[in-house]
Parts: sequence; C-alpha cells; structure tokens
Amino acid sequence: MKRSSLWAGAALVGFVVLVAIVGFFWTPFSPTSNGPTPLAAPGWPHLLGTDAFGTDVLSRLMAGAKVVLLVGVLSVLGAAVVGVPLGMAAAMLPRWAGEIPARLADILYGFPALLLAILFAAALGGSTWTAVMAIGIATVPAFVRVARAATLQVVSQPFVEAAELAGVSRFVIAGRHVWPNIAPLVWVQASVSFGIAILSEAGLSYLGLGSGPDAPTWGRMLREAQDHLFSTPILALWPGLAVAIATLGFNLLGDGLRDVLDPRLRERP
Amino acid sequence: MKRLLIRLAWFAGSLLLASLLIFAATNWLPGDIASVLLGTNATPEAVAAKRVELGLDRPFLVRYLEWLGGVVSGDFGTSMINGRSVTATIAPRLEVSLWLVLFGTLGSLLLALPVGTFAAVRRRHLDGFVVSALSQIGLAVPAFWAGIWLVVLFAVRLQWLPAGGYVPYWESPAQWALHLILPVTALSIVQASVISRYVRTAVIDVLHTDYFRTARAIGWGKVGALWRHGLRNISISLLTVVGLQVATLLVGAIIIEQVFALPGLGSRLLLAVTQRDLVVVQGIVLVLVWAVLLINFLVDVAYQMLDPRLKREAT
Amino acid sequence: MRVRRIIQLLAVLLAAVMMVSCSRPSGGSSEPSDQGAERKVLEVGATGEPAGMDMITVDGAGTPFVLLYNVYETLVKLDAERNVKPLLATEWEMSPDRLTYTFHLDPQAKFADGSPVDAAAVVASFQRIIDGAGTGQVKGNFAPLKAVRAVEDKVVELELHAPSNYFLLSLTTPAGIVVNPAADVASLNETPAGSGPYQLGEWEPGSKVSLVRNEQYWGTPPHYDEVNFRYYADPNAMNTAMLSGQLDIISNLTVPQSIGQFADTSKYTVHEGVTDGEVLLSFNNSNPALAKREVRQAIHHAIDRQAVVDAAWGGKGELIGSMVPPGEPWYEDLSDTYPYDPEKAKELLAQAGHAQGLTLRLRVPSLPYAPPAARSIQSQLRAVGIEVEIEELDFARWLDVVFSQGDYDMTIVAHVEPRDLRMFAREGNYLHYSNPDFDKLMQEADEGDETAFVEKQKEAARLLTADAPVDWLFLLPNIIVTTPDIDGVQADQTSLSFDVTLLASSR
Repeated sequence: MKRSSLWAGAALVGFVVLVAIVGFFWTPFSPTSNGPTPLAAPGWPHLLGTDAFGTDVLSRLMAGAKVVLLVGVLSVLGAAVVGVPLGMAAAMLPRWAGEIPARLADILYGFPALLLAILFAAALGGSTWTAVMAIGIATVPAFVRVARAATLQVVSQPFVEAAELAGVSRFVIAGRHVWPNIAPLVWVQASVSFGIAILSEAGLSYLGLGSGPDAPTWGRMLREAQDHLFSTPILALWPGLAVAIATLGFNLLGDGLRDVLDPRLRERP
Repeated sequence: MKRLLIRLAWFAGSLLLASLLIFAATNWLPGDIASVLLGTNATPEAVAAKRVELGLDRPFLVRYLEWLGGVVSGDFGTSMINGRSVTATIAPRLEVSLWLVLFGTLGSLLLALPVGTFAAVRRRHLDGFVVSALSQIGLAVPAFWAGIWLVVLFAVRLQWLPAGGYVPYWESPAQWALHLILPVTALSIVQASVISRYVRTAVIDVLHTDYFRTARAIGWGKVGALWRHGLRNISISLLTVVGLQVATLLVGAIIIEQVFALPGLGSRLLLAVTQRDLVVVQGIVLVLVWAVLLINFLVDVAYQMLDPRLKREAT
Repeated sequence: MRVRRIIQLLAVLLAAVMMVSCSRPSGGSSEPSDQGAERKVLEVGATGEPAGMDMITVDGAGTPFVLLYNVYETLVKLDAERNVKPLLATEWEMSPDRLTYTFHLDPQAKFADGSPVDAAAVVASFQRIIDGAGTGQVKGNFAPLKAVRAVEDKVVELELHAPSNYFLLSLTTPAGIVVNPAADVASLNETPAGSGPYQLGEWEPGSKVSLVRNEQYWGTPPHYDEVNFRYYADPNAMNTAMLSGQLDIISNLTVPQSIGQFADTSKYTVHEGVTDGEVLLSFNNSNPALAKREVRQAIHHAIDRQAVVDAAWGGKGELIGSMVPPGEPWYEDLSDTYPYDPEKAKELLAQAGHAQGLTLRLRVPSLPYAPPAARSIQSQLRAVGIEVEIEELDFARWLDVVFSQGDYDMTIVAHVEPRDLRMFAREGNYLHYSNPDFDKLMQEADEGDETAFVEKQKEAARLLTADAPVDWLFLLPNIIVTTPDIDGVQADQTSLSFDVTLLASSR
C-alpha cells in the first residue's frame, strides 16, 4: 500500500497528459465550433452531451486539458526557476544576506495567488497569461521554503564542509553537491504546486479573471455551465470532475514521490 | 527575548514592505481612474483636471507616505467612486469575512480531528484507507464547485437553507446562523481534507512513540492514551498548518462570497477592482495581506513557545 | 501545560473577534423591526449597481434605475405606451415657432424637505447642465436647450436653439430631473435631494441600496414603506436568492436560460417584455477592412442571429435588424435585410479583396450577454474565413479602451438609452462612423413637424441598416420575475427607471 498513491497518481496524471496530447491533435468534434444540437444529453455521438452552443463537451474537455497543463507547467516551472536558486542562496549565504530572500518569500506568501491574480487581471485584463503569471509568482515562496530547508540540511553534512574547506566555490558546491540532493524534494513540491495551480486556474476562470471566451479551459466551462445549472446541471459536473481528477492525480503523485524519495519528510508542506 | 525582538522587527519590516508593494501595484493599474470616473465624456482636459482633483498628479512617494500615515492612524482614505470613508466601507465587511474564516477554521478542525485520528488508528484497515482516500478527493475539489452543489441541493431542491446573502447577528441570530451554514460548510469540507491529513500523520507519529506504547501497556485505552499523551505533539504540528490554512481561507472566501452573494471583503474587492476604485482596492488588499502576515508571525512565535527544541534551529 | 496555553490563546482570539464584531453595531442599528404596524418592504434583486447618486454627473444605468421617478421626478414622464404624461408639470404648451415650451408646475409639488417645487428649482436644475455640468449623455440630451426662465412662481419657460421633437422626450430622461436647490451640489452624489415618493435610505456599496418612503410626498403615497435593491455580482446568485424566498422581485433576469426555474405559477409570475437595449456587434468603421461596406455586409450575412440569441440569451430576444425597437412609431421590421447566407458573405468578402481571409479582434466587456455571443459569432465567422480573436475586458477597462479610446475592431454591447438612433449622428462616436446623409435626415426629423419626425426617422433607420455600421444582433428582453402577489409590473422597459411607485402587493 506504500506505493499505492504513487501508482494511482502516476496513472491519473498519465491519463490527463494522454488526453491533453490526443486532444492537441484530434478531438471527436471541433471544440470551438457551434453545433446543431445545443444542450443535448450525453449519448451518441456526443458522449458527454453538448453545451448551449451545441459544442461537444468531450471535445472541449480534451482541448481544455492542454491549456490546463500549459498553465500548470509554465507557472510551476517559472516559480521553480526563480524560487529554488533563491532558497538555496538563502541557506548558503551568510546569515544576514540569507535572511533577505527568506523574508521576501514570507512577504510574498501574504499575497495568495487569487489576490495577485485579481490585481493582475484588473491591470492587464484576464487572460491565460495573466493567470500563469499570478499563479507562478504566488508559487515562488513555496519553492523558496522547500529549497531553503532542504539546503540547510545538506550543507550541514560532512561532505559539503569538506568541499568548503578544500576551497571549492559556492556555485560549484551548489551545483554539484546541493542540487542533486534537494532535487527530489523540488519535484515533490512541483507536483503539489501543480495541483494547486489547476485549482487556482479554475477559480480564476470562474470569477472571469482567467482565460477568455475562446479558450476552452475547464474553469471557463464551469463558469459557462453555471447559467444552465438548473436546466442542465450535468454541464457543471464534467469540468468540475476533470479539475478534481487532475488535481487528485498531481497530489497523489506528489505524496507518492515524497514517500519514496524521503520518508522523513512525509507529509510536511 | 532578544529573538522575539528581532522577529518583531522583521515583522514590522514586512508590513511596511508589503504596504509599499501594494501601493505601487495598485497605482500601476491601467484603465486610468480619472477617465473611468468621467466615463463617456472624458476629454483630455477633463481627465487632467480630474487627476489634479484626486491628487494623482503629486509624486508617488508623497502619496504613499500620506496614505501610510493615514492607515497607521486608522484612516484608509476615501473612496474615489462615492467619497465614503474606506475604513467605514471595510469595517462591516471585515465582520462577514471574519465569521467565515473563524467558523471555517473551527468547522474544518471539528471535521479533521476525528477523521484524521480515525484514518491513523485504522490505517491498516479498509475503512481507514477509505477515509484517507476521501480526504484526498476532498483536497482536489474546488471549494466553489462544492458550494454550487450545496446550493442546488439544500437551497433550491430541498429549500432547507437560504441560498445566499447575509443577516447580521444583531438583527436575527437565528437567520445569521442559517445564512452562514452553507458557505462555512463549503469552505470547511475542503480545508478539513487538508488538515485531516496532517492530523493523520501526527497521530501515526504518536502511535509509534515509546510513551504511547508504555501507556497502552499499562492499560490505557487507545483513545485515552492519545488524549493524554498525543494532544501536545499533534497540536504543535497542527498549529503551523492551521495558521497557513487561515490565510488560505481568507482568500478562498473571496470565491465563496461570490457563490453565496455574501457581503464580505472579497466581493467588495472585486467590485472595487471593476470600478477602478484604487483607494478601496489598496485598503482591502492591505487588510488581507497584513492579516496573513500577522497570522504567520503569531504562528511563528507560538511555535517557538511551544517547542523549545526549535530555538536552536535557524529561523 | 503548553496545551493549556494554546487553548488560552484561542480563547483570547475568539473573545477579541467577538468584541470587534459585536460591539460596533449597537449604535448603528437602523432597523425599527418592531414598530406597531407591519412595515411593507419590497426586496428587489438587481445587477449593475449605481456608481454614485448624482445622475447628472455619474455614468451608467445603475443610478437612474434606482432613483429616477422613485426619488427624483421630472416635469413629464413616459408611460408604458411611450406617451408623454404629466408628472411635476400639470400641463405645458409649445409656441407656434416650436422654439419655446411653457410648463405649469403642480401647485402641490414639494421636495422631501417640504419646500415647494417651483420655477426657481427647475431653473437651477437645468441651468447647471446649460453651464456645462453633466455626462456626455446628459449634455447630448439637453443640447437643444438655450435658456430656462422662471415666468411666475409655478410657471417655467424653456427656450430652444432650434425646434426639436426629441426635446420633450429628453425631459423624461435623467437630464430632466428637478433637484432641490437647497441641497449642496457637491453632496448630491451621496445624498440625493428630490421630490419623489421615496428618499435614499441606507447605501451599502456592493450589496444594497434602500429607499424609504418620503412621508412628505405630495402625490399619491406609494404602497411600500421600504424598497431594498439588492445587488448580485453573479446573476445566478440572484436567481437562487429568489428561489429561496429572499427576494420579491427580480428586476431583470440576466440569465434567461434559467427561466424554467420560475415555471411554477403558484409561486412566481414571469413578465416578458422588451427593453430599449439593442445588442450590437459594433464595428470600428475606421478599421481598413471594416471601412468597406462589403465587409460589414458580409459579416451581416455570415451571422445566424437566431443561433446567437439561442446560445447567448436562451432564445429570448427579438431580432430587430435596425436601431429602432418595436413600439416606436417609426419602427419597421428590417430584420430580413441580411438573411443568413454564408455563400453570399464569402462573395462579398472576395469582392472587397479579402478572399484569402481576414483576422479581426473582438473586444467584449464582461457583461452577461457579451462573451457567449462572442463565442457563437466567432464560430460562425470562421466558417466564412474571418478569424476572430476574442478578448474579454472588465467593464471599466472596456469603457476606457473601447468606448473612450476606440481601440478595437469589433465589440458587443447593448445600447440601453431610449431612442438612441441619433447616437450614429453624434460626433466622435466610438464607432468612428459618420454619414452626412444620415445626419441630415436626423436633423430634419428633429426640427420638422410630427409627420417628418416619424417619416424621416424611418428613412434614416433604413439608410443606416443599408450602410451596416453595426450588426443589430437582438433586442434585450425585459424579463421580470415576481411573487404572484405583486401587481402593477410594467413588462416593457421604456425608461431607464425601475419604477417602484407602480408596484403594490395584494398580500
């Protein structure tokens, strides 16, 4: 049972990625074209039914998967690229200098993704890119914290002290000794952050601050489904389920990775 | 004592820096407030005159310091849209948000403690596994989605509870409670999933300790032993999580307020953003961010007090 | 022991929160809930909040929706059949040269503070606009007004620059409100000072505006003691509030798809009427491609408007094909001018030199009807080779970028002002549209006699439809949902006001 969450997570994530890849090249119907039978119930040929525009819901979900993954990958990657070096620096620099990135991260922690996104969307207009930026910036502190904590543990190890005494530069130590040891934890954090990014995107689009009307994202679909909540509630079911499945997948994957890679840090944020 | 002072200084510094960031960010919002206020009859001259009237033509730093000075003395300025005091605008809304966060936290703890403990104690059994799995699923569900279905079920289909809106406590305590049930539930379900997983881990740790085994060996029941010996261990690790979750709740409440049409800080913020009412936006964002920073600070301090071992570790 | 400390800490926090939230309101409670007779309170659900309380200087439909006819009164008022009826003025006459109106004020009329509505008050209110105050719309409405004079205590004379058929109608709009001259102009944006049956009560921006009965009202007292307009950012939240019994009336259902929720006639009455809100697919007529009439006409032929209404507005909404809503004397059904014909559209595009295709930006405001209509249109235009890039802007930004700066190719917005055919003749309109022939017809209509007023406007509307500077998608319906006990609901919305003085309850 120890690895069950790893496998379950990998399977769900794999499924979502597969859907996204297939959806990139092929969908049963066009995900953005109107169709002749609006609000059709699930059946044949529309397996999950159609929305008010007659657009096939399954096709829209498939096309939406790639946007969701794109938002997740870009925001998490961006956050990691900024956050991990900052976190390592916070741990390896002299105390007074190291405090600065750590404290900056603390302050940034006070700006949750949603709050940032509201400000960004107000400034730049809601779009997929403002969502990526807001979610990315809000994710940075998590990486700073993880990288800093892990680096602190690594630099107190004898082999790092030996390298320091031998006069190896800090950059080399960071690259050669620290990074390989903290990388697994960064991956774990990436997976967890990915789940949060998907949830955040859905929330933003629901408020109308995310992707525009022509981008078929799951959050957008939820927003559109809301107008039909009473006549055709099932429209709100599918995108919500998709969000839940993808988030669940990345959460489980993160947990599983953590269990396998570092049992000591099991279930710490 | 010295450590506490240093922390306090850092805390004050972060409050200051956060305020600067917020002020800079809101002033950088395009969609010039002057032309928005003038609407369809904005001529360049009228816009320039309006900017002077609003004091937007003065240097950034002067305006920032003036604003900060006001905030420190409890005056958040006046709304650009309706000329009302922002402090008076925020205060009644803060109350709604506070109730949401307070009951959201209590509700999620009430759910999470038994669920997490059950999942830990029964972790080798099917029912424990099912409970853990359910909490994983709860973690993946968007809170507003849960809220939507709660409305459909309890307000529209069954008509047991109001679908939204708010009644202040002093008007009718019963109505006040009824109106809060659904939004608090929506917030709690998701938060409880997060917290129950920490409870589970903490309880498992306790189950493995020598003193717990000793207590069991001398005849304590499982629950009794946990209550007697486990609570402190669990509470220390819970403190951090709950602190972080309170911050999440504050912001998560923004969407929930939208779903349930609650007049809290979040819905007022969204309105102010669409109206480009900079002063109100600044005020609300500042209150939210400072609240999060304050909670982080308190958690930090409490953590130190509770766990002396941490004193030697880097901060 | 540490545990106890946590508990103490929590207890202190809890107590602090309780104190903060319970100590404050004790003074401010304004709800006299237990007064002898039962107060009749009407709860109205609405979207689109007032941005301020001074209708003269504040843009947007939210302010007149609440205040016009309820708090402020005008000399004359439009009834449900669009006839001009007396309000503050009992009668009026026009000079033979049609340049001077003389209004006789109701001798009973007085403001909420008891002071009389006299000629001086009318002069003060109108002079403010002549002197340059007011939004573009207000100034546009009063453009023909040259001077206002008090003839006697209760007689006022309005002199025009040129004869204008529109002017009497303009007096029924927010521009024509009579404000208490005793009030400080600067305070009007927070505290309106009118002569209507209601006064502004509490205003909580972002959630509600309440009106309380003006005990001094000079006319027939209204049925309700208090009317609360409750605002919902999310129209679905408004529906659920109605369904769970928190509202007596939905002032306009902005999710027509959900009308089925109110099908139970024992609990709800649904009134379906029309508004003056023409939903336009507006073209930037200075865009190189859209400046060509063939391209604009091609777009007209490429759009299946019924499909747009079905997808975006639950099939509710009349197809109009011109800027004139049915009910106006100069209305003609022009909705068949451009039948849905993608082949014809492609031909026209090819004629205009766009056979290889075209890309246009569609910048829409985030109002309930616009993004869904945009999605539907995007798909239809793609079929004839026009790629549409949709961008959604929040309304404030849309006003700035599209409406003020005119930076867009196409947009979708409803024009809700009554009798707004003349906006196409306004200089510097956001459509960048100008047609001297049209302007001339409109001027002739305004200055001519009554037949000319109707005939010339018919001609102007036809000309406009032929020129296709915008695509008239559909007319916003007026869907009002009430509890069955409410009488007096006016199904068609003919003014910017939500007139609660007409409403009564049989409960």
